[in-house]
Amino acid sequence: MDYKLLFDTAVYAGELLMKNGAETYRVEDTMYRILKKSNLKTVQVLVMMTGFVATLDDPSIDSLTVVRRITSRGTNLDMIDRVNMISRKFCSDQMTLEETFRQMKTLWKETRPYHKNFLAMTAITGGFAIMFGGSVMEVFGASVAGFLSSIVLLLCRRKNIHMFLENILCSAVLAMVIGLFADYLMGGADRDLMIVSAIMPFVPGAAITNAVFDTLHGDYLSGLARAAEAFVIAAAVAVGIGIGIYLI
Amino acid sequence: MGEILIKSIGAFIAIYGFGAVLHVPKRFLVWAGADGALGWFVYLTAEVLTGENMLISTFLGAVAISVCGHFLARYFKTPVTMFVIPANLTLVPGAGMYRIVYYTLYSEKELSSYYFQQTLQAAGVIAAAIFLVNILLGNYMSGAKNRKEKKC
Repeated sequence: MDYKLLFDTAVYAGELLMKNGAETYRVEDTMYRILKKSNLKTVQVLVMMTGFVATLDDPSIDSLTVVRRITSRGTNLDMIDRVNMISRKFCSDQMTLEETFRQMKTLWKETRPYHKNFLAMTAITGGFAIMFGGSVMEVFGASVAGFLSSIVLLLCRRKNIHMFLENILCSAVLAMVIGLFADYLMGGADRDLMIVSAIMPFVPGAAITNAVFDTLHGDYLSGLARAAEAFVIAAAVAVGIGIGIYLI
Repeated sequence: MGEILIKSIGAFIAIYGFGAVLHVPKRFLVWAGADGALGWFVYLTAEVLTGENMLISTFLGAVAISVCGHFLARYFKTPVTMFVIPANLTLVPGAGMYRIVYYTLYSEKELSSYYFQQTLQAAGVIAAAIFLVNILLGNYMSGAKNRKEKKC
């Protein structure tokens, strides 16, 4: 077996999973299973939220070690599903190593243009307003705010603005829109309800869930790091809302 | 009852949209939305039954989401996170985190520490629910899997 190729496959899989927001233990588990297919004596994988180290060693070969630093993190569950499917096939011997490597590489190279999710964002904010028991007008206000903030989000992504600033800008815009709505267009609409519904797409829900998952699997470092990430995002959103309300 | 159903439909729409933003594969989107709607339905029902006890309702909602997510994940052979991450957004105290920081900025210490406490409690309860379901179902399921395909 070509150990180098196997190692590269595992590293590709790990990096793809980490960049797309998989839990730490899933990354470790996937890499470990792929590397274990070599039947070598020592397989070690250490994954932390900001990077990973993997090593493969045996008396018969020179040891292989790789360190990868992960700088960008997003959430793309589709990618996780596809990597998961490929590694599942490989580990149950339904796919050769070469084929697996080729498929991982195509996934890796795949350009991911920014998804235009105007409709989805509108659905989220509107849906949450219904969920929290808003009236028709409040649902409408939250949806409009969600739609406008998704346009701001798209512009920010195009210009590659830092995530912190992006969150501030989006939440400032939606706070202003909602402030205008509540003050001028409809008296008596619950501003707090609309704001809480509209910030839902920006709020660190995924980060909190992942923090819980990581902590439960004993990855305390990653768990704490993700909790800190959640607080940073929440701070950005709160600052944005503060600015928006102040301006109106 | 009717109100609870309408709110659950709202949860379905919201989670469907959130799933799309998180790039949940199209074939799972409806299921993720349904998982979220189920969680919110259980939460609201429990809230009525227990007389607005936030912690117990959140716990039951999170248990419902996790159990449903586990079975879906097993059925579709995909990571649990596919369903649980979007669906948990209904219960995860994201708004609470925002409120903590917001009231801190406006130096309203009492409100901020109130929400801090509430958020921590809710997050802890959700963690406990996920933990419990993972132990009970996860072990049973991985046991079944190991017996089938020992190698991997």
